[in-house]
Amino acid sequence: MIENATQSERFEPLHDAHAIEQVVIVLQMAGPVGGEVFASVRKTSEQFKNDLPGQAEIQKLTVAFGQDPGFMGQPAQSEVHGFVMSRTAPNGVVETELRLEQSSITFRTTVYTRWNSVWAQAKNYLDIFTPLYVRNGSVAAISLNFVDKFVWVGDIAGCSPKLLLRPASKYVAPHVFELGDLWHSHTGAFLPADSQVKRLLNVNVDYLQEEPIAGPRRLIGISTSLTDLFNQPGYDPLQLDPNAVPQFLNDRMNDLHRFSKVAFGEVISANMSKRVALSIPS
Amino acid sequence: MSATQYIGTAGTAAVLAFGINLCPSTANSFGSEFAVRNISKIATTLPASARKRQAGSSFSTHDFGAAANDQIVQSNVAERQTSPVERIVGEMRRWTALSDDWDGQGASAPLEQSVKEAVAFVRMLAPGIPLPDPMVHANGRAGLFWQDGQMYADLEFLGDGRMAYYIERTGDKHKGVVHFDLLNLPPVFHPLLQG
Repeated sequence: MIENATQSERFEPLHDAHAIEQVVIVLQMAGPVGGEVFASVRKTSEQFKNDLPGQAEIQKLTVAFGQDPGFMGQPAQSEVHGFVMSRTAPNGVVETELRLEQSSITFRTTVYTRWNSVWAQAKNYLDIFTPLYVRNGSVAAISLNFVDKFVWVGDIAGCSPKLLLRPASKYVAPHVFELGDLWHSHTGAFLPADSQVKRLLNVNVDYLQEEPIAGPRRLIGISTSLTDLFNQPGYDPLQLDPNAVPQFLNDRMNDLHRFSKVAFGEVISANMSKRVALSIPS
Repeated sequence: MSATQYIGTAGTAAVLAFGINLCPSTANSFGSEFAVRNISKIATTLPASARKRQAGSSFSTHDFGAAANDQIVQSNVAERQTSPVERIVGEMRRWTALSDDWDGQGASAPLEQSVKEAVAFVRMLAPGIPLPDPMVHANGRAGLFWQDGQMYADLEFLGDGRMAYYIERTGDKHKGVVHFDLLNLPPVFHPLLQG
């Protein structure tokens, strides 16, 4: 009875309860920390080996070319740039990943439950590692990125992005609604945040044909990315005390999360917002 | 900005670095596809161009469009399987699309707060215990029930921060109404549903 009450052809959130394929949190420093500092980062990471048993080095490849004779004949140079720790599911999908590089920390997970849980997990790592970086440099940016996917259920001939996306959304190029083929829409803008923060919002919407192992499918992918940039011209400088890092990160990320939900809610329809229990903060 | 690369120039040399660029002084940071492309960088499902370029076969200094096109058709996409808990939560959230008389017999539309409480409860269940089946009552309240050889349990979420329960287990019967704050499993359920 319940099944009959729903439309037979529709978009469904990727994971039924929600559409979030992955969440990425990035902390970017203004420059790389030195080798000694990074050695302490590596040493500190050992406490998380049980959480994230996979480990691999990240190579940075530098290729020089041009007319300058000084560059001629130089081979490509490769150096260790950082390392990545991860937890991988039996089917090979990376569930959680922590990338520690000389100028950035990146946390990524494909296991989204609820924001408080995911952020608590990321915070567990960031609170430990960020002070090591901050003692030796300044924070350039913090970013929160969500990738949501909505899969079409039904005959592809009947698939229409209008059934998912909010009509006249300011974040989707209007002409794509008139197209019959696949498309991509991108928008990016700096938005006012506060006296220290220059905030960049990127919304990418892809109307895709994917071919996963289970078979081809039509879907809409939405990437909502927010980046708070610090120490920008015309903005108050950020001087972060290492001891203040946990509170700073917590406040900043929760603010980005609130803002991200508002932006995402302006992309998908009201019905789908309800379907995925997207509660828009007032 | 390509899917995985930031390409800057220094004199006559070009530097190709597989990394993110958030440098505030970089003009390209505005409007770049920084986030999703960074995600691609570390994802298991790299777009075609990213894989190709990681192999070092080609690159472009301005390929927003190429990166977008690469996303249009993706092959061999590996992704996490939806969990049983997500399936249950998904089913309950689908109820929010139902209106009054969804059963043709005068049932009330599902109560949003009641569904929210049921979702919160399912998420708190300890790993390893059997998962319940979700149900919606004619009064619009969400419910959960278990029925196997060991236990019968029936929970109803009242939508006002309380839940009613009836549990039969090993010959004993328990019933009552308890407060549920969405954050903590009511203590009465610890021995009943976590053992």
